[in-house]
Amino acid sequence: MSDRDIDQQLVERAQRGEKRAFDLLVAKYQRRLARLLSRFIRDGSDIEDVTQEAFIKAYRALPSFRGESAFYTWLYRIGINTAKNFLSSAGRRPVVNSEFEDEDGESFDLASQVPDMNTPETELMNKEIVTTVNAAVQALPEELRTAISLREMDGLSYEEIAQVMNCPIGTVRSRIFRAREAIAAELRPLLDTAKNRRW
Amino acid sequence: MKEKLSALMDGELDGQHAQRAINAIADEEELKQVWDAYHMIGDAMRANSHVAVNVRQQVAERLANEPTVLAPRRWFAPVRTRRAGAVALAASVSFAAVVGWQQLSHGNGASVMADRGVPVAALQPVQQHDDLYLAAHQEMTADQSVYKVSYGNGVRH
Repeated sequence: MSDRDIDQQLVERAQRGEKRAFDLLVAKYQRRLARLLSRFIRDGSDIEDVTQEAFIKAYRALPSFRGESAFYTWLYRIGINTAKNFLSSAGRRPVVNSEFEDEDGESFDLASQVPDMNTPETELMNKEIVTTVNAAVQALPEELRTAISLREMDGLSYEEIAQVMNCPIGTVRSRIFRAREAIAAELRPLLDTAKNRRW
Repeated sequence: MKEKLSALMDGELDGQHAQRAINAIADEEELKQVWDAYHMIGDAMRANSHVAVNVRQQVAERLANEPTVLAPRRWFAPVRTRRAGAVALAASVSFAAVVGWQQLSHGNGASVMADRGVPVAALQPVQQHDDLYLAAHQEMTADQSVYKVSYGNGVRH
């Protein structure tokens, strides 16, 4: 089942009234959507607000989603429109238009790179997460590190990774899983702290 | 189940296994946390500078006050139906191909009908050009050896 198929399954469940299915889509796309929005909204807390608002709008518009484009492409469009409305209502304008191309090669009209203005707390949390993940990746045994890197950074399929690493696909699947578990174990204390603090 | 979840998010789980994994994630809060954490790991590895963003709780709280979305099922035939349709189509095409091949493979011999004992009075190549219509359209047929067949007691059609 491809990534798009998984999203489609979750969308159909949400369309049948399963709000928890929509929650999985939020968990999956919130960071990517926030990064997209950060290209034309400077303030970190505004980015979070607009991200949140975009998901609510997407939920309300679910009955009109017909699967003609990928869910994230559709979501990104909603995000961009929400951001434009936000900037317009706040009397601000995106700085300079530029083209942004998503993973499907679709272009979006966007503002140019805008430096982030995260709150110090958010900035610190971003850095802590990235540092923890990177350190955990570096501490992995080489075969786990290679497998997870080929998957997450290079986007290779299990079959391709199996060819590169000269091992069975089942081994690739196991290595990637063990890598994720090892990294998640390092992240957990940080996320628990953050949950108590903010989430 | 966590290993299946990991494979699922990589698009490496098929059919019923994928369905079961999705059900489990939707049902169990712990697996939802794992789903979230695994995606966060991927985002952090790809240097997303907004890995700390977490609006799940706020969105869930707001959605709790939203009327439940109930979209009519219309635009998407269930996968099973589409598969069944594809199988039926493939079977039809195969059947037509086999029948067509059988017909063509009897090019110079007696027809299938004749084999079955139906009286065939005449079997004449069109090359004789005594039938103007067939002669005129002969070039438009896939098989240049078009035959006229008369059934019955020698009555020409």
